[in-house]
Amino acid sequence: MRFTAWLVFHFAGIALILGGVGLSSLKALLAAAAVAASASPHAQESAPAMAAARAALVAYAQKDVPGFAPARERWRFAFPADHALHPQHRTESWRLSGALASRAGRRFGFQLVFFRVGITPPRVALGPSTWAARDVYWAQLRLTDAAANRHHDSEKLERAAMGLSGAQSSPARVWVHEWSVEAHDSASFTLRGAQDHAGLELSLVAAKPPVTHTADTFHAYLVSRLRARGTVRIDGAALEVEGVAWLDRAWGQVPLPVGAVVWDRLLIQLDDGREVMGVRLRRRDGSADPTVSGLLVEGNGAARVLQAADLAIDRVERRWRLRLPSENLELYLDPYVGDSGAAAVSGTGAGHAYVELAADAARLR
Amino acid sequence: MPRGFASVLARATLIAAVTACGEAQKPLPLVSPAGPVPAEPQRPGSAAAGYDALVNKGYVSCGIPYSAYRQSAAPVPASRLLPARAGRNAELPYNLTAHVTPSGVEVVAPNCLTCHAAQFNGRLIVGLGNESADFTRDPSLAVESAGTRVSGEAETAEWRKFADRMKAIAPYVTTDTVGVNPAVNLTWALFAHRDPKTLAWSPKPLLEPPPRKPLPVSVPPWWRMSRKNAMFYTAAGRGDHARMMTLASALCTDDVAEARAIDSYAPDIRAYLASLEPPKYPFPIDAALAARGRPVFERHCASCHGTYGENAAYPNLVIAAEAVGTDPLLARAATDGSEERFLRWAQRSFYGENARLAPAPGYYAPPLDAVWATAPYLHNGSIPTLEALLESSRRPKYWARSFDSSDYNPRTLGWNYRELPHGKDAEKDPRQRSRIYDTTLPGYANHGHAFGDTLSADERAAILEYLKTL
Repeated sequence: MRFTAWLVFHFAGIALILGGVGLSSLKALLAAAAVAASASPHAQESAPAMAAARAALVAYAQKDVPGFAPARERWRFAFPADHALHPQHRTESWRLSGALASRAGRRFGFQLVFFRVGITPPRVALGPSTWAARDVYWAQLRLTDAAANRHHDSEKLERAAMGLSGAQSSPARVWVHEWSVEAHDSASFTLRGAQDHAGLELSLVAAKPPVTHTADTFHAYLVSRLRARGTVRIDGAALEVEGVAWLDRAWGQVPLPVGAVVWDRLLIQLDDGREVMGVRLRRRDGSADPTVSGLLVEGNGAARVLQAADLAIDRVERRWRLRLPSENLELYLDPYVGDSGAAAVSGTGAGHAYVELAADAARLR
Repeated sequence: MPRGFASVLARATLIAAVTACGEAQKPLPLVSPAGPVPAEPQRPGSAAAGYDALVNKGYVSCGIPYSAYRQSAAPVPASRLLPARAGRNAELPYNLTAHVTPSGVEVVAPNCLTCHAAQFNGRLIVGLGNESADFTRDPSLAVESAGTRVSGEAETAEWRKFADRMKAIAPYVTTDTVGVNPAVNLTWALFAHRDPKTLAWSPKPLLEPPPRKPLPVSVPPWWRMSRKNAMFYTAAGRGDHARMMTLASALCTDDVAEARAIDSYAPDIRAYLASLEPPKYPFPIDAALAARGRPVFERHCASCHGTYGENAAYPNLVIAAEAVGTDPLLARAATDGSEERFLRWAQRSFYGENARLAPAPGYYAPPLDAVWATAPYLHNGSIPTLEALLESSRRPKYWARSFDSSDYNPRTLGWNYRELPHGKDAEKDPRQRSRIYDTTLPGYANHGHAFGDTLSADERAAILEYLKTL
């Protein structure tokens, strides 16, 4: 199904921060930084290199590179084909977010993001080096452990050469090192992500059809509810978990949170079968109140766009509140840890949510 | 053209389209009588210079930085380009104009043509009112979204200026229905946020703002300008029309010096508008039937709408709202005192120096040149065809159309439409709801102007054919 939510930036782009890197020789810097960032197996040790590489990647992603297709006004969405790579487009993202619980009730949250930046357009031949690459991938994994009151965050940046990172079709798959998402058909996926002390492997099955969207600069779809089942490994233990997840995909000139306005998203999956996405566009300089919008997905998959007049999003102490009077909804989102990530939902509805803040990008620095 | 930006621009151009205006010095009345509208002197201008100014000058002086616009700009089809545009403007769609601000930032802003040009049967006609614009969505969302693509201090400051204004007016310019225009409310909202003497912008309203729900208006074609002695449906725009038109810049004009600079070339733009010829009917005409229609028209219609062809004459009449019987709310609001603060604002402002806003308690019977191109009809666009205008039993209570400029019906002289069994209330989907014209809503009524009901079917058919020749 399709909706034309003009400016709803629902897939909060990518948690990247634009550093002070000039555009000159960016490509070379990017390649060098990618190597440096991937050389160390420990995210903490490589943090400065990673920050530089990420900054270079973001700057490079915003630069015009001839040879990639502009996002057209129309896209004929098809699945599972659109789960796979769109190499003719400059940037692309895959984003899976969710809330999980073990049989004993231990709660976890996760988000795995892949962001691809094309560096060599499809029609340009690659050089002979085995390091020659068409794309660079950045990936970020957050595993939230409610019991330990802790987010496990890490990121990777890798060129698409020698199998270190990449994406393929049939089956659709994207990976950076051992992190991956693979689509088995239109509706089922496997996700793998592991860090030093925390990792997960999930089987995901879509419970709703994709909601598609073409915006100014990109094409996108989301699957607002996937059933998740699998294993979380934490501190040497392996726990069977179940839960719900949300998938966002975008390709074209995918928005990056580097402009005068950034966005936060609340992804809410209610036990009654509906989902609500609330989006808050927020000026960095705070010179005006945030502008809210959103999407409501009914149990049968029908989606409709919500405007500022329809909903309100605010904070009540550390909880997030979303009000949607036309649906008699007043929902409170309690993040398991801190003020973002997987959250419990209470109020006039119950369920799970994922709170995604632009501010989380800064924390990664 | 990027859709989100298009609507931003459309909204801002409202602004451009908007009109309202200034009343002359203190003693002049704020309300005009119904009846004849007297001619007043107009400043001369050059139509050629006016076209150049219309499509090239930055009279809407704030907008989206070009660097951000470019990221979202889709290739512009030739059908959306205009001739004789200079520099950057040559590559922009007809309804956008780029200019460099004093801070050195190139910005892209909506221009007058956002509301005052439209496709008819696939062809772009400058001066034809845009009856397909969608003002049902919160415009500030589009502008704030554009802000995600803005970076750099100077660019951010320019974007913020535009965004602040859009955010301030957004609550007053969101309509219920696609195709109708909130221009009147837009004008009042801008007045509310500006000091009339200095024109300085105030983030907080200085006057009580207008009601949140705009009264809907249809956008009249520019080629009527040469015949009319006043502007707007209630003939409120009196005095110097060129000055009145500069209100189109009121979204961004923050001081009198800038207003005066725009006013210096406004007479040229007015001269261009007055030079516009109505388009020729593009489909076959039954000349014999049309010839039979002419005397019927002259007997039944000409006393208000004038005569055409040789010895054409136009009476410039405002018909009292109760006499014409069409939806009274627009004329009532303009004359019952509820908009008096805005009329007074205009009177005290730069715009009131040589122009004035003095609405009459009725509706201007318009000239009917190329009226076949201007569906839907009446000041609120409540009737989809001229056939239904002339026979009130055919008027649909609830209707929807495709908004495709080729979906025109040469038999009924208007848009093909679907009559619906229900109004907006029964439609849950907001998108579908916004595309329903519901004549039971305040301001949207389709009654009145039932003069055609007394004619025979043959006479109505003959008048319809005759109207194709105008």
